[in-house]
Amino acid sequence: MNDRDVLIFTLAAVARRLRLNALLGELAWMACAISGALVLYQILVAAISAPAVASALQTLLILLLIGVVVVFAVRGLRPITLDEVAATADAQADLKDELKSGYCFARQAEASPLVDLQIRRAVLTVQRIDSRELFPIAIPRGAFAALALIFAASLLPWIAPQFGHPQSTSTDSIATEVAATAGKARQLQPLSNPLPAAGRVALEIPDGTQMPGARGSDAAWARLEAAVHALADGEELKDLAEAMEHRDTARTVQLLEEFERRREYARAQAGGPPADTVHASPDLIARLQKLFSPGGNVPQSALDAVAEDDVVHALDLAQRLDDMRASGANNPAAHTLDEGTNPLQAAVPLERFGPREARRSQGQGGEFAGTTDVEGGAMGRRVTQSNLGAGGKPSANETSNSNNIEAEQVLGARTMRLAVQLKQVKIEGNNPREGDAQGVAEAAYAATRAQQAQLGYQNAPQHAGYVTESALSGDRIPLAYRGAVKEYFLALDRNQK
Amino acid sequence: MNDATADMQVDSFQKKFRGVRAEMARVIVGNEEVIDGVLTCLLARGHGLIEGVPGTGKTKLIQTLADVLHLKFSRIQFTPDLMPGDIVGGNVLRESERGEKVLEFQPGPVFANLILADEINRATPKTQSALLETMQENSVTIGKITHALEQPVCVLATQNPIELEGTYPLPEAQLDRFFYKLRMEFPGAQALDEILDRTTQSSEPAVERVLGRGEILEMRAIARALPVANPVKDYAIRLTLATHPENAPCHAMVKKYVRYGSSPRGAQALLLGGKVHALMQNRVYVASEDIRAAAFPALRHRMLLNYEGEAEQLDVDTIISAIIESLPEPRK
Repeated sequence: MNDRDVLIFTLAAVARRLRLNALLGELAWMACAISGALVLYQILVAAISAPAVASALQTLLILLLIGVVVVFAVRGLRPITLDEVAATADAQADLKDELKSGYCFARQAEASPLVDLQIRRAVLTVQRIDSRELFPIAIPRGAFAALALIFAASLLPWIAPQFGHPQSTSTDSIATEVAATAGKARQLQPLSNPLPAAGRVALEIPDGTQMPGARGSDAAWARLEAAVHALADGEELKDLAEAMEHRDTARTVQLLEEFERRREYARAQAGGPPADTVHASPDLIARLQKLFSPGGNVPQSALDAVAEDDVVHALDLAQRLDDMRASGANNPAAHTLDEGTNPLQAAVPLERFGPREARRSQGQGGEFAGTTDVEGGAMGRRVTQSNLGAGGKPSANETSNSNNIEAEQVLGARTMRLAVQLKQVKIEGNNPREGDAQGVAEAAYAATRAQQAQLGYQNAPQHAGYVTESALSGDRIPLAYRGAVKEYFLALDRNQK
Repeated sequence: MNDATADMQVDSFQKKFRGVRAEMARVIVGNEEVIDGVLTCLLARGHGLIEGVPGTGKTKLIQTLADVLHLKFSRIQFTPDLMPGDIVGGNVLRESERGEKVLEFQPGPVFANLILADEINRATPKTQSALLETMQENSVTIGKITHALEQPVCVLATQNPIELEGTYPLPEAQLDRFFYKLRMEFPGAQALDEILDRTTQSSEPAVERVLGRGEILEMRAIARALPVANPVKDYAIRLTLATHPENAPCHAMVKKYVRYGSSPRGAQALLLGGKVHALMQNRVYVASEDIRAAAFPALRHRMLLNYEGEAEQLDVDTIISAIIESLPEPRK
């Protein structure tokens, strides 16, 4: 056996060791992938309670497992070439390509004294190397991860009842929020009149126990959702129904509160008598009590957090809307609501939406001229009419603002339309004729210097943009550098090609 | 020649190489890489360009090398008024013994084994071009007669990177003919102390001639005969191609800053330089480490930066480092 054969034989022995290590590593990662997939499947099944999804996940899991086995089998059974063995040994023992070069020369037919010398040196090196020390058969790192995942996968079914309620935390938060909302609702004055029998919607609340696979929190949501769906046959409650469908607690509570405020405002506008107590439907309370009874599917934690009367109040918020619709024949705001217009607009006095609407409401007798920008005023200035009526008297709209305090409480602070509030300034050299009231109005109200400065300031970025663009597009390259710049861009062009 | 002889030859190569290096180190302080680079140029049948600020010992290094080797040495001080004929020589009119007027060839200073082209960028491109044939073909053609130069021929040129006024940068064709471009670094405090000790006393250190022409040719033959495995050769090829911006998988820096990549001479320099480096490291095969060691001096003058690279004053070595880091080592 010559040096070449010895080198190849020794490398083959190292290759077997490497292959075993590689196989163990692949097996470990395969176990890791399979157990990880199982854990993920269990988590997903627990989180998504729908049986159709669970079935689909099961199919997906089986396909995934088959894929994992195939991939890792292909990887694990892939032969390791002696080139790779030599390269790996070089890298592991810091041999600086000695074995790789030696094996390369050993395969070649050509012979020279230096090639033979190199092969001989490579043989000596590879025989000196202890392959068991260099490539020990060790437990792959993936094995520990696989063990942990297998342990987790086997443990999950045992803790499934607790783990099976991934929304338990969120259930508590839902319960807290619902309770808080109910508390707020109690602070509001409830309706005095009981639910009209004709306008009341018959609440068909499905029994949670009849829902296959439904968890406690889901059942609670489903019941609440069904109640609102029963009420929400109109467009205005569509958002609420949608929010509940997405289990968006914050949004649900926000919408309920908003509807409650609108209802309160509409009632104030209609001048109805103050409400006294809550009169929820007795059969509704009975049904809710039945649903949230300890025998139901609702978890005990949720029941502890949500008192029955809190849930009743939360539902009552929705039911009041139904009352409002039923009794809204004489309520213009409720009419607007039914027509599907913006409910906020319906609840707000018309003059809050600007002078055009205000003029419409005032008719011919209105003194208020609104706030109208007029371009190209006297001396080319921007002339703006103020929101004062003729003679400096406040307009009728302003006097009516006192009536809108309640609406402001609903809507919050008003938004100013203009950043610059125009002031009354007399323009020199343009005196209007005596008795010409309109001329006075047009000439006297013009932009102040501050306003002009602000306008100029606002125009500055636009001007700066123009200057920058013209500077960039201008031909300002010094003559001496034009060749270099041209060559540079040509080189860029060539590179792009 | 059998294995034992080859082994002895390799040992002899290393011994001689170390001998020259040790002898040069008696005069030159530090700059071991430059000394190794100059010797590599000599043993790989190449030419070297040494760049450094004034006073770092460029000329001294080459003069010391000439003193250490039993070779014919000539020095050409490149000046702006130097003409090609001053370098390669020419025919002169001479009266023979019989009284006849004959043209006789008068060889120029390039007819030597070791040629020092001092401050090469001070001469005009026309004069610089006189060295092209000498460097590539090791011959000089005057009129219709080509004169072969005696082997070994090694041109070692120096240039100053900072005093660029009144100089003529070497054209790409000339640069490409230099096997290595070496950089003389400014000495550190300790090296400077050693330089002062050696050069400011009554006697300066002297060197002995340790290597003759025949031995150098023998060493050249051994370096050429060193085998290179295909994966390592493939690595050198990939490294050369990676310097080209038009090459698809090249590094982002190459694409952004390089105008032209290395020529095939760069790949030759990588492999031959790697061979000498491997022999210096007592190896009878070339490893990818040897190719990497040769990459900087072999490629830095063969890569041309574009306008953006020049504007950012980018060092080519930075790009070479990035290429080497991004290039995977040969696995098969």
